[in-house]
Amino acid sequence: MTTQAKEKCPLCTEEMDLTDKQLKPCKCGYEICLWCWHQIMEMDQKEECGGRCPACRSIYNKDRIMGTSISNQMNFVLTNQTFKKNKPSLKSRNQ
Amino acid sequence: MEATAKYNRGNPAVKRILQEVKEMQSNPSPDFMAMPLEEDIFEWQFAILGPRDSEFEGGIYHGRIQLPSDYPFKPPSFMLLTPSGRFEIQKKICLSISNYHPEHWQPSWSVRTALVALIAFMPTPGGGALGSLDFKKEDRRALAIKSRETPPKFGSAERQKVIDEIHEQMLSRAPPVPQLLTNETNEETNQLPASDASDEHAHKAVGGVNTAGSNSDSVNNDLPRPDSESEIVQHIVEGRTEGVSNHSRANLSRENIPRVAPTPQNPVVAIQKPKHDRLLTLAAFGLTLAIMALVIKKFFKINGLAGYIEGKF
Repeated sequence: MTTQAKEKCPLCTEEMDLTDKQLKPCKCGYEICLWCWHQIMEMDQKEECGGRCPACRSIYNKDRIMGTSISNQMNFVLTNQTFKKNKPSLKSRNQ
Repeated sequence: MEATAKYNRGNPAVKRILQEVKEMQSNPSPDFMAMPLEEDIFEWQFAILGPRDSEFEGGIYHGRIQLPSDYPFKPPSFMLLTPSGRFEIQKKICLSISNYHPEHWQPSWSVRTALVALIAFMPTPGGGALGSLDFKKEDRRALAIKSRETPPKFGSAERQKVIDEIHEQMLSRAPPVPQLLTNETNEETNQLPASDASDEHAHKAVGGVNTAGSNSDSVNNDLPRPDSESEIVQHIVEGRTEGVSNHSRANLSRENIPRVAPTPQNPVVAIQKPKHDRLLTLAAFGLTLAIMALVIKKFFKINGLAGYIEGKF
């Protein structure tokens, strides 16, 4: 097990797993977990209030975020396949 | 520990609220105090101190916060219980942090940030907002002094117990109302807090204008030139016949001379250009012949190779 600092989502205070850490929703660097991000986007669709980054208030670009997430998953899969014996070291790309 | 075990930890809102309770207890603030009820963690009782250098200084104002079930994705509602001259009591107040404006709420805010904002809103004018009042300074100061004496009475016995507990702790912290400085503070003018301006970045695309000038030279034939010259001369004569004088006649005679001089030069230029064009034409024709010759040679070579291959098979 790699000894990493267990980060918590600032909104729901749950521990963020690998999927949550790969989510890079905003350019200002404010990271939230996937569930909270989904809650924010869902509330935006229902009541059209929100859909913004809690830190800098910029509107979330849903298409870009989803694309980034898929790209990170592909990267993860490739890394895992290449080094099956060794534990993969994830390197997230900032697009 | 026992109290926290009651709540449903599976609910994300509950977990967030419990986190805030711990944070409030571990890092208490001298300006406010807040704690939830034991029965309902979504209802908090709070008390704030009046902001310094204002007519609310020294006052202890109690209130209640009702958190929504979707917290922190929905804003809470606020209700003041102590009369202050700024907010109505036992009525939900309209602020940018309250549930009247869910579009302004941010999930990253918390009870702590909300109370800090509430303290900052005290000296501002009400502006006719829901739950806001605009009392005079003297009345507000009197209410501030009165607010320290007894805590407000609200709700059930458990709520009253929490309110009394908060009031005692706030009394121990709060400095007394500055009565001696009454005259000086009246002379001072209240400075409104600066509003945060939001900057919008506009992307401007400046398109460059390209100017393309094309000049085309045309060679005139020799035949129509004498006609045009005669026409020009006729116009001059017609224009100047109105004012008959010796000077005008002299000008006419002088102007005629330079017009005649360039005429013999033009045929020379005209003669030279056809020769140059002919040379270029001959060169182009020669190049075309050379290209045709090369193509024919390649064609014959290909046929030769084909014959050679066919011969082998």
